[in-house]
Amino acid sequence: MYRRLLSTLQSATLRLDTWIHRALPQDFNPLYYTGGLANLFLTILVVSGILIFLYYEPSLEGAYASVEFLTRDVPYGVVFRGVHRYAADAYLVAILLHLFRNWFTDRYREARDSQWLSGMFLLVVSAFTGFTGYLLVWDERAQLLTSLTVQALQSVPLVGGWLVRVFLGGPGVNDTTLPRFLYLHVGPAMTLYVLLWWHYVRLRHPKIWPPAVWVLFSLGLLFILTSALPAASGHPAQPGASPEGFPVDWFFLWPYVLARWLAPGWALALVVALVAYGMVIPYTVRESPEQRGLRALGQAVVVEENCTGCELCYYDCPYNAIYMVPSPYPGKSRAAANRKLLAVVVDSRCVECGICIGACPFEALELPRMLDKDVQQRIQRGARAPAPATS
Amino acid sequence: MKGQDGSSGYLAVAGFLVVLALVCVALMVYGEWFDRRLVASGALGVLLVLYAAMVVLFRKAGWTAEE
Repeated sequence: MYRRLLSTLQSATLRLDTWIHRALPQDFNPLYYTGGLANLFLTILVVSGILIFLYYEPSLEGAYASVEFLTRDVPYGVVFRGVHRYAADAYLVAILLHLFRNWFTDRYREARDSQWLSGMFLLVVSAFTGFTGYLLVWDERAQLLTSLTVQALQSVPLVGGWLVRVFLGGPGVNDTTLPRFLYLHVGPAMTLYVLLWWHYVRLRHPKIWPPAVWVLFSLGLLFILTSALPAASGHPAQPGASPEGFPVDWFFLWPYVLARWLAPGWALALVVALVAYGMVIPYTVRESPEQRGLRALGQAVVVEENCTGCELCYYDCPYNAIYMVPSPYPGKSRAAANRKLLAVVVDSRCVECGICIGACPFEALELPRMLDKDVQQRIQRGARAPAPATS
Repeated sequence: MKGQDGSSGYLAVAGFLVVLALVCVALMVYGEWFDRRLVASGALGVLLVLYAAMVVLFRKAGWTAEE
């Protein structure tokens, strides 16, 4: 049932590509660049965030006034604020599109589990960073979100009180709360780049930036949204007040909508369960490569006497599993006699795909369970097999 | 740079977008001059989207820098 659903979604994803290619040149398909688009929006968030940070005052008395000053009195301040707000939404949408596309097209299994896991961490940290951004305005919505979050954290067994103190900088809202919120916004935002490094480290040719056409379109869309629906604060937070409703941002604040029907603790538990399920998705695939008719070929091995240090395998390996090191001795073959570099396979990254074998013109790499003689045997077996019946 | 047969339709649309882009530039100047900055930023947004559309149209018309 689950496999059939994924298979249907995979077909739908590929059909969507076909429709897009009818309207756009193939290399302009935005769904090929969802990761790059997320990077673009993250860059816009960092740049606009730095500009906003210059005017922000992290205190209970000054936070709201400083955001209002930025919005009303600073030239183009309302534009920077709007671009920051809508880029955050667009960033999350791009991440979710990236996640679903890779999920539906099976690009999360086996060797790609590292990308999937780092991607899930990126999603969680991004969502948390976006949520804390809403608190910094310190309006009625921020006050209500703070109150609901405290209720949710308090319901966590054993460490609930400690989590509340970490969140607020004390047992209740106090003078250190807004600086704490600012740290909880900027700190995780900086860790996004560490997570991005993890996301890319095993990829040789990641598409980290979209084509110019999508950069122009995305920037344009942000400016249009900013002008059509300028970002605005609610009423300022009042000490002791308990606001009841708030304008919902469905991208970041949907867990708080659940609080209408669920206790905040249960809403938190649901979010944690969803994230936990997302983390284990690559490990829910039960079939081993052998069960799926794929033969284990063994990790690639460098035939040192033949390696010329030409780096072709290094550039072609999509998993960053080949490194070039200074050659300690010359090769034995004529072509390898004057080499300066030697290819080395990182076993933990090799997925036995054989791309390096195809890349090497000097027969300096081999898959130990798919040697030349194995290939020749398979060809001969195929030649001896009876031809399939034709109607 | 090369063109393709039947590219004149795409180029005509691109030409129309160029005119719209000039209007956007005028709106940007107006917005800055009269302190209507949301108008200026909206016009900038439309201008960028128009540029993106023009790039696509030029590609579809075969007007590319590639061989």
